[in-house]
Amino acid sequence: MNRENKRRKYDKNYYKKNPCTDSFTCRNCGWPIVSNGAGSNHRNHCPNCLCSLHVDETPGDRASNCGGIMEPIGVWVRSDGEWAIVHRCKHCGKLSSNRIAADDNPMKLMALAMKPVVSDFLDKDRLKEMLSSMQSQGDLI
Amino acid sequence: MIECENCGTMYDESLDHCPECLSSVHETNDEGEECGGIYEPISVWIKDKGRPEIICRCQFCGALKTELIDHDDNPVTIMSVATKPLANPPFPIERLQELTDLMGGQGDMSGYYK
Repeated sequence: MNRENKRRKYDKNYYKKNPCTDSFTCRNCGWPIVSNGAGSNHRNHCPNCLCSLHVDETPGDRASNCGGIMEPIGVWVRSDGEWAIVHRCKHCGKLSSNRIAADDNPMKLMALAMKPVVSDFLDKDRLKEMLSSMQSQGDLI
Repeated sequence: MIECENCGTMYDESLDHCPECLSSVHETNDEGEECGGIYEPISVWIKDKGRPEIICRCQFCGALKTELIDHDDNPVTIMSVATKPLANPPFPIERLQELTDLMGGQGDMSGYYK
């Protein structure tokens, strides 16, 4: 066994210090993924379906026993104006946030951002009433 | 009645977040230590067939949690949280038309106000 493989196997904090350059297929959509092209050395999620795997508790420690698929549930804007995806584990419900990568599917990202806006959970009449009471031309339709 | 740490609104103790600014206080973290940071709302998501939830993030330690949206929550605040990413897109929005054309979609983005 060569020295690097041995370290990878037995050093618990190996992936905290070293980037993982293995190629793999996405467990959710089957997309073949290579490590370069993400704009960062640490690829977190599939660029096609934006799903991730629950393998870490804190970044790089590979300490989680769950291994569930983490689905993207939303995006948010960090204080530096960059988007980050909020992931939620389908199996145990753990939430985590991660930066978007350079090769992420832009349509998928837009769909994720539009999801709460186009859904009808907000009472449009109440919103309209509120906006009109603020003396604006609150016509949302 | 308690006072909101973030915006100063008085609200009932039974609510788990302030109905006006949707923020709450992070009492203890996973290790059981006191944090005291303010949870700010960062995004909204809808559980399938369930009620909508806001995703909150602690400004101090970065912990995430979800909370169900109450009926009395300010809809303008919820709307502003939900539309924040759209106001700050990571790629040029005028190139989206090319993408929809590439995918064979029918999303015509020009002339909405014609």
